[in-house]
Amino acid sequence: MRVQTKLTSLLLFIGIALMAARYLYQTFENQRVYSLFQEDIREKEIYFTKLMVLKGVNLKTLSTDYTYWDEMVDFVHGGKSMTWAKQNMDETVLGAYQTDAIWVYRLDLSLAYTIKGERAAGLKDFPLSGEAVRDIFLKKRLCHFFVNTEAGLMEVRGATIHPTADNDRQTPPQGYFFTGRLWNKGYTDELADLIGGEITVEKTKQAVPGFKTFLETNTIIFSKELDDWKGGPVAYLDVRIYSQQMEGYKKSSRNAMATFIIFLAVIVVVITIFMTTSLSMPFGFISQALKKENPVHLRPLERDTSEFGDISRLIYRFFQQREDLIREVAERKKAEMRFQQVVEAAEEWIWEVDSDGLYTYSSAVVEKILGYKPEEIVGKKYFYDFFLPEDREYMKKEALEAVAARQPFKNFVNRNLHKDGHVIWLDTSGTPVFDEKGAFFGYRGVDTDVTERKKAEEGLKEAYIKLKEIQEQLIQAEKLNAVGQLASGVAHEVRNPLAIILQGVDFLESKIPPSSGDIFEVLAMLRENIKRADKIINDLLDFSRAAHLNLAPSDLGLVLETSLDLVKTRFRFDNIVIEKEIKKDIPLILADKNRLEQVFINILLNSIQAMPEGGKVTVRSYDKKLEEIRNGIGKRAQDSFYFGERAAIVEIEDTGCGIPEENLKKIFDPFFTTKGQSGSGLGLSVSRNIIHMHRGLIHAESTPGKGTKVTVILKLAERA
Amino acid sequence: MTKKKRILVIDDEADFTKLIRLNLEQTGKFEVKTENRGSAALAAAKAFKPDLVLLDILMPDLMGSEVAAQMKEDDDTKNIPVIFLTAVVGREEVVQRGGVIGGHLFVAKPVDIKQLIEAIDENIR
Repeated sequence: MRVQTKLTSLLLFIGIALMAARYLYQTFENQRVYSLFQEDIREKEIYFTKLMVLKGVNLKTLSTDYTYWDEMVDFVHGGKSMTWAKQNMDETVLGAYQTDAIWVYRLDLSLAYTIKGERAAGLKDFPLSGEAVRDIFLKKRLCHFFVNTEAGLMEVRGATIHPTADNDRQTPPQGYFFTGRLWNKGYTDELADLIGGEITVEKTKQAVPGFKTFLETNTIIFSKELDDWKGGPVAYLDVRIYSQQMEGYKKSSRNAMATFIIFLAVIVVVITIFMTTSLSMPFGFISQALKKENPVHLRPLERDTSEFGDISRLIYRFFQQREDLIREVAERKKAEMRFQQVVEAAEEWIWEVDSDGLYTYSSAVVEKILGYKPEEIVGKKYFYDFFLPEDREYMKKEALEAVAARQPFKNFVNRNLHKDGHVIWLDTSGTPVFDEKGAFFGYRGVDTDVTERKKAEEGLKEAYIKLKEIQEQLIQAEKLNAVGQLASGVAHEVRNPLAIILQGVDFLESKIPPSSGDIFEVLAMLRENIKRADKIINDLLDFSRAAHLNLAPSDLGLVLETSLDLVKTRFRFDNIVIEKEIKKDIPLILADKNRLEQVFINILLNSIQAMPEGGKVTVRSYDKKLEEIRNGIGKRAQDSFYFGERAAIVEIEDTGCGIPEENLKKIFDPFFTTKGQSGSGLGLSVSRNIIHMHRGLIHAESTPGKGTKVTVILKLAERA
Repeated sequence: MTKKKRILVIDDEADFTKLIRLNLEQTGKFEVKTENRGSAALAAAKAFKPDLVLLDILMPDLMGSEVAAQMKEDDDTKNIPVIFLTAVVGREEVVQRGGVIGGHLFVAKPVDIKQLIEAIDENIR
């Protein structure tokens, strides 16, 4: 409900309340007046009764004084004459006692004397019968009653007659005495004058009107019953007394009420004016301003010093602020839209996480990148949930350390798992976010899908390695080709003369007689040296031919076993123990079996030759993750193995004479030998070439006097 | 007495062919003819009709492999067994391969006359 309506209602209510108050006041006032005037009315009645008694006192005096008198006794007994009666009960007596008639009866109820005044002239007899008179005095000596006569209503007083000495009327009555006064208009008017009202004699009892009539007419009305000799009503007096007091009271009450109403009306008017000017109008302005959302309507209240002024100024400010706010919101919306459009259009995943790393925002593009909808991420996933399981722990640790330091990070490349399980490379940059108070509440950042780039990089890297390998192989092949050509040339050019010499030796041996001992010995020396020269050429050819490998997945254990068998069948080493620690179930390696056998035979022969006095050769093979740092293992393109790659390892360890440190570095160099004329110096060099061709590694460790260990590291056919 | 086996030795090294001939002939089992030019090898084989040919691979005018190919194409010579003599392949390798390289018999130079005779005996018809 509107305040103005409320105010109007309030005024209406006040009006109604005032009317009700007035009504109630009137009611209470009436009751008060009633209680006030009830006493007055009663007093008036008493007064009237007393007045009646007072007016009747002459009658009473006459009836009592004339009845204890010896002369009266004498009269009724006939002792006194009629003259006496006429002298003592004449017109003068009637006048003196203001009575209209006297009747004197003897004891036998015969009338002894009667006199009637002028007004009672019409009266014939005593209005009661003799029996009635006897009955009246049967029990009492005095009587007072009213009776209707031909001349009108008469008040009668009577007494029994006794001697003068019997004042108390103890003696038996000697006769009966009555006197009566007619209640004609003159008498009632006289009474009415005395009480200041009106009196009428009615035959029947008149209804006495209620208090209301009294209030309306200011007249006290009551009825007085007049009884006959038996005590029953014979007539009623209707008495009306006009109350001046009442009229005055009513007048003053009316005046008071009028004053009160005027006062109230003035108050209501004042309140109405006050409410209209001080409440309703300001409310109207404010309401108008608020309804029309226009502060112009508040102008009348601009300089108002009341609370309405404060409120209107507040509203005015509110409108201004609201306008600013609307403008700001619109601008923000625009900015947000711009941001959203950029975010939507961006290929990059834009995100926000809280201080625990839980996503609080994610742009929609994440579905394209990781396969998850933003609603599957926000409030549900932590940034490290997407890391690849094997990366997760240390990456999480690293990332959380950065978060703890509140540091921005850039281009943090990490591997993540797409919803469907494939690997996604992300390039992540983020910056810590603080609220206005400077409290840290998370990170905001961008992820770029760099999987394709990574793949390309990997491809490029692989291609580069391959290229490098091919290049190396080419260089090697080129080198070996040159060496090969040279070796072939040398082989051809040297072996042909050797073949001729050998045929010559054969021929000569067949021609000389068996007794020529020295000649045989010389020919045998020639034959041995031809073979030695041939072996050098053989090694040279081996060295040059390492360029060509027939690679196939091979069982390293089997290659080692074959090599050992070949060594055993071709060389005698009764005093050498060979111990095998060949691990089963090593993954297959990628190798040219024959070439690899050549390598192991070479190493084994070197070991055997290092132990002329006997000893032990341990042949060990196993697979493992390469985690030691050494030449050839790492991230460089020229490295054969990456750090952590699984590979096959062969160790051949002897208890021989060992190799001095200065020689250890040269043992793989071509033509390096410590065997004097028995070695070509190409065996280990060829072996190293073969191993390198396999993209493997070979190295030797040695303690002079204790033994040598040669380790070969080979690639597995499938990368683990 | 069995008929002597006819061996044709083709090698550009005249000294070598001469000594091979002497060594083979003195066993009394072989009749040996030599030829030092690859280009003349086919004609020599057609004329001599050997039971076996010892053929050098690396020859200046015509390679032994080509001579062998010519012989395979000629009806007169196509069934004559050929043992290649080579200085390029090492003796051990030839032995390791059981004397067969690329489907042909090989004997590495320098060769023992005993080994050569064994090879000839094994392969002659």
